[in-house]
Amino acid sequence: MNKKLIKTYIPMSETFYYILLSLSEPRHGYGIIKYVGEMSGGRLTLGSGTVYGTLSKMRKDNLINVFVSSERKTVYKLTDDGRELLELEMARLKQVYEDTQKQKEFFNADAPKAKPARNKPVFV
Amino acid sequence: MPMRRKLSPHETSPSSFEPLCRMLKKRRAAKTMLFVYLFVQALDILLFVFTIVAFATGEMETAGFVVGVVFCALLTVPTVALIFCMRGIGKKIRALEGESGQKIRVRRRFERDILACERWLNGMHREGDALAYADLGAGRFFFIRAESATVFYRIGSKPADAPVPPEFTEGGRFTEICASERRFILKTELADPPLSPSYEGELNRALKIKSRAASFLVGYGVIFGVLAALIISFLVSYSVTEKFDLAMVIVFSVLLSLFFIPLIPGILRYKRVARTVKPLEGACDNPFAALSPSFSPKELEKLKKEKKYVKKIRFFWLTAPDLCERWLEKMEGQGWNLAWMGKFGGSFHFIKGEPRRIKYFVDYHDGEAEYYSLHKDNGWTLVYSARPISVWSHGYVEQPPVFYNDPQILTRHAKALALVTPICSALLNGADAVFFVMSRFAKGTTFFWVSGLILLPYIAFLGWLTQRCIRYYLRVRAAIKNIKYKM
Repeated sequence: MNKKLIKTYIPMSETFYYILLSLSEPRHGYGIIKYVGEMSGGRLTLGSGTVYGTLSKMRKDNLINVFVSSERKTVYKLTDDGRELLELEMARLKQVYEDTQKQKEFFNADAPKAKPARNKPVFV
Repeated sequence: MPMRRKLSPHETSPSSFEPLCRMLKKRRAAKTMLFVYLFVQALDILLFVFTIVAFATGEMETAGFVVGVVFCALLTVPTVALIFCMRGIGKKIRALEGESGQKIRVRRRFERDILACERWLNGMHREGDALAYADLGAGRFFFIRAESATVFYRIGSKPADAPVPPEFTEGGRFTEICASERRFILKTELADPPLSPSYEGELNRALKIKSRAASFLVGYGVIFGVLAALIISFLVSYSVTEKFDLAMVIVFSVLLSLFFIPLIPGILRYKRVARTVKPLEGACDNPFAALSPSFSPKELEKLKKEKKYVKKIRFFWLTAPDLCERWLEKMEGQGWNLAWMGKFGGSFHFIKGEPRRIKYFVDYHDGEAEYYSLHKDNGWTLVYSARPISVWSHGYVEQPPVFYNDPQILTRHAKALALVTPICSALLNGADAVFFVMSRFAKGTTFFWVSGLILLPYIAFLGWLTQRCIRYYLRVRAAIKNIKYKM
């Protein structure tokens, strides 16, 4: 895979990572929003503007391609490049997790319940 | 012998059509040569006329006249030869068409009116010419002889890197005829197939062209309209305060009208696209549709009397969209529900109703059909759309919905706005300054003061716009600083 892609995308932003992750099977834009909402237990609400922009960007960089495009829905699926990039990021996150576990005894990482994040609107 | 031209890389044709293609290429080459040679022919005619006139007036001797006429006649030979050559090729093409039952028709600008092109293909089939293949890049359609039948052709569009959606050809509803990078042609015998390619892609394309044409017209009109208004006001004030000079008025009016000549092809282009948009909008459930007036003028008049309808004019909300969003949200909170916006985005029409919590968002994106359908699926309502600007609204209970998790995107537009407005207004101001300085050299001082008075509000207005844009950019930048997501 292109070295430049790795350099631009790793480490990934959370939204980018979740969008890529949700394409484990072919999905259309709105399907991604719903799936990520469910998967993260409501912690992450993707804005449709972000999803559209990210998908265009991924398509331009050949991380995903169009699977089927009928009436109104464009369905995307991962390309080999996209899969490879996602796996690289997964390996990185696994490393992060393992390192966290090593330091577990000093910090109380498990205790606080992750609250659904408040989406901060920009100008409000 | 007409020159041979190689197939240009984007031209494709099926191999069975090769002989016909070759003949067509020959005809095209002959046509090009003829076209070029017609310039020589025009000169030749001029020369001929000149010779006759010179001879008739006795300026030229007989020998010169004969030489001139012979020379002109010789120059005509290639034209005649080319015309005969083309007729020969035409005969051969017709013979070949009759013999093989093949036909090639060129419709270069078929994408300007897809519906008409489909009708044309259906008509060709009814007359016994079935479409065998189409080179959509070059607009060439290849037909073969077939039984006359009622068949429906559909031209669909698709994303550049996608295959033709298989569900159309599944179950034998449609037969795929050909596909180019962005379009494909299907054939069906059903008059009303249950699932057929939508016209959204074509509509999107037409709308994009329309918006480009419109923004050219508006931009050009505003800039030159302002300049023209200034020049006219200077002329008037000069004529009134100094002296009236008819010649100057005429010269300036002619110059001014020259400025507006580029508007004519622009208007024609806009009208042409607008004509294609209408039928396409009717042919699909239009995902680009924004809120539109739902009351008749009479009902509105009644509502207005009952103080339930308000129209507000805001022209420059685009220079600070966040303020406009907040204003609309405040109006909704007071029970003034935004019902629709004017065609050019200058007016906001409110109907009195219940107070609502609604989030408004102004976005800049010249997207595909998916852009609009995705936001609509996600619960946003398209309030107003004039590409690349779109205004969205979304009702909520507790948490305002987000449009972007990464609002850094907004900075790009804000920055462009904050840069372009000062430059534009500086340019416009510069042009006025020239007039202002010029007026200093006029004899009296009255003209100077009058022109100054005309300029002052204008400069103040441009300054006001500029500070609005810059302050918008600063607000966006300050807001972005607090965002945690990175893109």
